Amino acid sequence: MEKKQYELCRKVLRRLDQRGLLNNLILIGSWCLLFYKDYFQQSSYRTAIRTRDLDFLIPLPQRFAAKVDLHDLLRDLGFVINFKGQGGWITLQHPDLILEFLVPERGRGTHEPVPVPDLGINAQSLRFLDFLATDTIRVRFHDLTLRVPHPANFALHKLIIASRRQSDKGERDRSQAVQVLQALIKAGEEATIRTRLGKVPAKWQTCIRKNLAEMKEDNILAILV
Amino acid sequence: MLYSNRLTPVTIQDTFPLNLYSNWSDVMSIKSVLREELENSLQMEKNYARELAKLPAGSLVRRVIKGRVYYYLIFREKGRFRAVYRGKVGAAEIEKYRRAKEYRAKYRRLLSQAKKQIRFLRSALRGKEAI
Repeated sequence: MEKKQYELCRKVLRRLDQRGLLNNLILIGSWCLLFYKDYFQQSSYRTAIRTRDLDFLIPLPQRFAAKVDLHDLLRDLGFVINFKGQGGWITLQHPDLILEFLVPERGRGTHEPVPVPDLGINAQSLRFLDFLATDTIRVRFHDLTLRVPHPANFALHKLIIASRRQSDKGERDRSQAVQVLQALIKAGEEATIRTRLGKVPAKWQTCIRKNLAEMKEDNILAILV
Repeated sequence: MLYSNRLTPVTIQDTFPLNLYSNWSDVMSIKSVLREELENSLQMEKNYARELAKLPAGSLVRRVIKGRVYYYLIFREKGRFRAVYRGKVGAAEIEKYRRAKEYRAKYRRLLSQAKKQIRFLRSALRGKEAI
């Protein structure tokens, strides 16, 4: 199943690229850990366990060069539409891969899905996603160039949201964050972590430090001082 | 910033290291992933069943009788095979049934895959703790 999943992921990304959509989408979520392999170039860097969800962040304002019905584009691969949550935002499901679309939540927030007319879908809006969209890098995945959040933003974001999630998911977020932070430290990017941390509000910083303290990650806490 | 000048392709082995899960937190992490995946597969089962129900029933078959082409819609009803004469049909309808046949086979295969995943995930999660 794993090889099939990997190949399906490549096919999906290639189709999005061919229609010029990849430039306007940021890949977030646990699949980033795989794509960061390219950034870190460390033999010790290992990708952690992840779900089938391949999450795409649509930065605001939405900008797409062309209108593409995503379900039509991927239907022949076997993807079906799934309506999720109270509002009924759309995910595209396949037994090997689930595509989710997210937009940053702003203002007072809402449970309503956010229409993305250019892609023919409704996206889910979530807090703190702007932090991932503000600083992105481009990595290579086979013959494709993908836009992903900077690993420091990815890790700090995971630590911010970990406390707000159910215990299981929160635990996973923390563990992924620590894995990425340790890889950054090993790559000599302590200053980058400190800079990114300095850009977030004091309340978020407290939340990040609290999570690291709970995990007894003293070596990471030490470089954040 | 593109890191293409110092890249190596990600290989399939990189994605599935076998020696990662050595402590209790990792085990709990795996359990939480399995629970989430079970919910997804259950939803997927419903979605494929819904998509299969949406497809037009039966298959269009071509018959040549005395040199002329006619079409029949064949399907099963209450366990019995039936063929309904459709005469001459347009290219659009032929294409509609061809696509329906293709998607029916695809969705059935994927539904079966989702059901296998559900069985696997349920058995993997079965234990002293509630699923």
